[in-house]
Amino acid sequence: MRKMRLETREMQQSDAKQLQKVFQSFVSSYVGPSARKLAAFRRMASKKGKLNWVAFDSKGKVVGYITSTYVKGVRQGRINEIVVDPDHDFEAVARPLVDRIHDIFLEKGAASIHAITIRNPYYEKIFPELGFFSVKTDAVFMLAVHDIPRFLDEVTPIFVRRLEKLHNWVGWLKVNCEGHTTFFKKKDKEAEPYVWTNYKMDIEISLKANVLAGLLLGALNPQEALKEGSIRIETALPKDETNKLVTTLFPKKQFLAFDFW
Amino acid sequence: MSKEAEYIVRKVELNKDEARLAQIFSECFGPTTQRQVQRWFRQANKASAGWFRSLVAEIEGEVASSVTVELKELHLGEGVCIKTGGIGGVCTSSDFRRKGVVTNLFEQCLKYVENSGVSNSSLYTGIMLPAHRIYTRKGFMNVEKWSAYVKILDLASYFRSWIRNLNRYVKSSKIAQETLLNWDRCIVFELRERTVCFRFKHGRFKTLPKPPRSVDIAVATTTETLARVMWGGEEMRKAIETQKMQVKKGTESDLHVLRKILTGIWDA
Repeated sequence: MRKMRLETREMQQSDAKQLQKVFQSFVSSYVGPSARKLAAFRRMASKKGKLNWVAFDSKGKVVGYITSTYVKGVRQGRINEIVVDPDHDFEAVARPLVDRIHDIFLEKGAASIHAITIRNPYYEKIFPELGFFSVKTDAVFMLAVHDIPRFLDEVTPIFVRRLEKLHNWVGWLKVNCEGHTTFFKKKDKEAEPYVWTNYKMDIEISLKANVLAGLLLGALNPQEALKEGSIRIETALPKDETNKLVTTLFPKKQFLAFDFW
Repeated sequence: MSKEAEYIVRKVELNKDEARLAQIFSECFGPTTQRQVQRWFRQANKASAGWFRSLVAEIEGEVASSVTVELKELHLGEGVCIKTGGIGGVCTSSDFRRKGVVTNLFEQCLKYVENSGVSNSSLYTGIMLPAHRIYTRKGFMNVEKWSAYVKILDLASYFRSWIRNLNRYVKSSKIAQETLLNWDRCIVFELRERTVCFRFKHGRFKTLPKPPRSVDIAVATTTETLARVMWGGEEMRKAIETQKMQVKKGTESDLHVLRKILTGIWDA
């Protein structure tokens, strides 16, 4: 984790590429590569009325950014997003950015400042120190799966990429979602999905569609789901190997998955 | 459910329905202008590349309820971005609630999503809202709650703008007006930093510069607890039970109305 002298300045349209790069690496460390396109960053950097700032190192490289808005009518400052290059300490980069925006809001005469997040654990460290208090709202994001085979098809690349991250495991995996199945063969470094096979499975995971969605979105804890029986596993593999496979498939740190609903 | 109403379901007609929709949206989501409705529909239609669908239910020639669905993207990680039917604008005028109208519109939208080859639908709502029960019955699962970090720099001003918004809301909400009919009360919140008070009289809320001699409801609490109750993060009943809110004066029915005022949920 690098620590160096950082400076801040207002975001410019020419930062778009760097912003995308920082965002990609930040998101990759949590949920894997993001699908947010360069145009979105260009829009973000040029939008009128936004208070967006970047933190940059001595070489001028952008290492983090903050986006915010000020609503004049209600004198309310809103912090929308804080993104930091994972090579740098989140707090060390985010702090000067938050301080800067905080000061701007004060200068503008804000009556209140709000920072809303779905699940960014760093917020807990930064905001209470600045005199913010946390409010768990009753607002909730809900999801329903209507077409299980299609949903399973759509999420198959996630399983492939996560299996590829699992080193030293070779074998067959079957995912059974309410009677609809997908098969995966994991070789050395590659994983391949199959529609059907009569090969003997090393592990079979059976679960309901909403449990699958909850696990992929990081809303459910795979270990708890296993205990509660909402995931059923049939395997002859040792327990620690099974656990490793399950936690690789469903990592519990996906707080960015919803940021662009 | 009360008597089933006869109604038709049709697609929204922007130049015809926006005024009525602004009224219903104002009642359900807070003050909304015709222009905002127009802008939202145009943006959603553009973003969904024509996939966007907004349905309204009409009872005796009057728009009673609406649901919209637009095509959104859901980031699932590993660079996988899947389409989702983003449901929004689910609302019914207070004159036509509990007739199953919005549930029907909601089902029509879900069918549209399914028939369009989109595997899932998603939405944002409030857990304390009656609609949350409908969504759960239709197979929606809670994925994640929002949390917010709030810093109040000017409590008096924050409070004044809340009262202003409240007045705008009451003006557009029949159900709020009915709840507050003949309700003339002075309310005082003794907060750690300062005491804030307001009065409801003649259909309007008004901030009071200092506590009046005669107070109807007096509650001692912290700004944090008050904000949590207002944002729905903490139930007022629980806050009272746990002594985070101490009721110094106020009848049970007055506190019931106060809860509605604070949370903005009038039909629970």
